[in-house]
Amino acid sequence: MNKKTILKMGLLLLIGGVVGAVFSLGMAYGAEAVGTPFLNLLSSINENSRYLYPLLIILFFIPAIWYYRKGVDILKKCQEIDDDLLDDYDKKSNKMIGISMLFNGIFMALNFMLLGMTYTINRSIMFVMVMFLVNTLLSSSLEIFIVKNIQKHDPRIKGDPTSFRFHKDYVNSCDEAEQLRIYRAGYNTFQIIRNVTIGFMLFAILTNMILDTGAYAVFMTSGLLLVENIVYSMITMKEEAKI
Amino acid sequence: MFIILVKGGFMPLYNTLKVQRAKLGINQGELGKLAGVSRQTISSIERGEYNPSITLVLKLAEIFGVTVEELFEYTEDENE
Repeated sequence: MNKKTILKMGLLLLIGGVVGAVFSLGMAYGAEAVGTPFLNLLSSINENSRYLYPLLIILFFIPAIWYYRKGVDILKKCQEIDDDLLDDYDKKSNKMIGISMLFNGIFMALNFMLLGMTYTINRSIMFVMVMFLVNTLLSSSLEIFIVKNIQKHDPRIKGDPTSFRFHKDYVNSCDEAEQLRIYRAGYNTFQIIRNVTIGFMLFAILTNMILDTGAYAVFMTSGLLLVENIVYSMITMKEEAKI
Repeated sequence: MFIILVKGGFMPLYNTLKVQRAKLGINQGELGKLAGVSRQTISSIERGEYNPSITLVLKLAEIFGVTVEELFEYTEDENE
């Protein structure tokens, strides 16, 4: 390591320390101001869970269906179009289906979040469970529809979306350019997720120190970071051994 | 012979894929099927946005019945 690198690392540590100190002081003084509305929000989510599940369908699942239909319509038009125009149509269709999958992914994640936050209510536990199952079924069905539709338009693409082997079969059936895109997206996602996990872990540590939120969130986030790093290192070593 | 050279995105790799395809009278989708890749991949190669592997280059040369040099040309970029 040269002097410049050491200086840069020292500067980053200093900035981290300052940000952490400001954040901690802010939370210490504003604990009540931030904590009370947050607790109120949680309580409000609990009380209104019966409205939130259908709201998730309206806000995320219906747009996901709309974008999916739009993407499929463009895909159908692609069959009658000349090569020169096809790229534009393909990009539009991929974008629409990508947005559809994004909405569906958010729908699925929020559905789980809502279940975890609201299942303790005794009076509506059945409703919560039924709505959770309905939403999960809707989300999974759309995902299967999307994959089946992609396979219908491109028979090269293999994999049964209901199988545990799906991702392996899917990637193996893609060509080299598609695989490169998938791996590139996967690596970039990993880097972002690692940074986000570090951020969440620091937040969990600070809230535990200041608001006494408990060690569980710290354990979960640091555990996730641990798993991410171990799995990444192991896969990298496995891949390097192949070279 | 008139050859249209398409410059690669990051590497100075040129190709005559579009010309060869026109000679054979096939579209991108058909060439994709012959080469076992998607139409989008063929399009990316033609536009010079994707540099194919040696295996795919050899496959394409075989489909067109030409040498690799006739299909792809590596030229040092003067700006680099």
